Amino acid sequence: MQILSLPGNAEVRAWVVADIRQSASLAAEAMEAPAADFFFRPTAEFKMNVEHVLISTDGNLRLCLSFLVLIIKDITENLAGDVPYDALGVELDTARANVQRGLRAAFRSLASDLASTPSDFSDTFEKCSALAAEYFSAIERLNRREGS
Amino acid sequence: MRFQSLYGSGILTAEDKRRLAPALSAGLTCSEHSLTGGGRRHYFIDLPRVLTHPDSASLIVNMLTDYIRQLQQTTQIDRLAFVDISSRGPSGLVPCQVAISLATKVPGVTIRPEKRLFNSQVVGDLRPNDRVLFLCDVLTTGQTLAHAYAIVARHQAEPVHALFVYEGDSGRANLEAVGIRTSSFMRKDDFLANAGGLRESDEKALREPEPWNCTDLLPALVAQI
Repeated sequence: MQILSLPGNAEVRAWVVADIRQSASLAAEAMEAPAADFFFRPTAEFKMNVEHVLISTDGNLRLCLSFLVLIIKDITENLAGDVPYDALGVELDTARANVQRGLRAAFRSLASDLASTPSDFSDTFEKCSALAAEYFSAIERLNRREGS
Repeated sequence: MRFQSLYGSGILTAEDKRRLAPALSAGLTCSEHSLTGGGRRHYFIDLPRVLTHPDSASLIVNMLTDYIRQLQQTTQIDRLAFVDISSRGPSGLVPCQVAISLATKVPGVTIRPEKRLFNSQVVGDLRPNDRVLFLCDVLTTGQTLAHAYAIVARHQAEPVHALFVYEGDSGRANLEAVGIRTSSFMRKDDFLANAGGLRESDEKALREPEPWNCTDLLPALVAQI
């Protein structure tokens, strides 16, 4: 007797891709909120949704998702929570808004790349690269501002 | 409590080593661990775990408190620094920070070397020219302390000394090479001699040489400045 019917690899991949696409679209949409209302929650939810399905992805999709999961972890550890707000104020708000835009662009691009098959995810790679550049430059700017 | 000396390794008397070693052995985990500075080690003494036992916590807090009081007779201490590795915290001696500050009346600061923003690397008030004593759990390569020293120096405060509860191989030499002086309650050989009841496999893991502990700490210092 067959107790459990396991779907084949192609079927699993289709489900996973649909889930990731939905998560990316939802995150991009939720991040339309102004920066003041933004507490990285959509980003954190995207990370939680995709990190456990990474194993069911491959190639450039896995690379893009791995990048996003890792950089979101770093961003939420360093730009959210216990950053001393009064010391950096406006500069920190600006950095968060810029990083928010970078994340939103990466999510939109990921959803779009997943909608068109086949895709080489080159647009998502480009957006991820822009996000990393913005995030690490923002940290440098804030540290220079603090040191000045 | 009486110390043999306030500086150097193994500053406890033989009697106090016999009291401390069994407490530390409750946190001994013998398996392969990755080090922050690369390399591996075969064992790890998990101080936050040791501090969950009230008797052990009381013993360690009292030893640290007595040490600070005696050091204060010759050295001005304005702040006690506890190093926390933020993503894995509370780590090190952070769990007993409040108890030590209350007992010594010296304010504590938490230093978090892994934070990217300089501003969030220090929790607590650290003022320019404050003389800072570091209280740390385990000395392995010394890299985490080197990072933390640089953070304190960047705030124009003055790190004066560092005390470790446990000291492995090589870390002291690495730190001395970049001008950081340390003391420790217990070295690995003291621990082996006094822990008692260690399993043969644990003892073997402890006796393994740790060549990867030899590290140049200058890049770690420079990276934070």
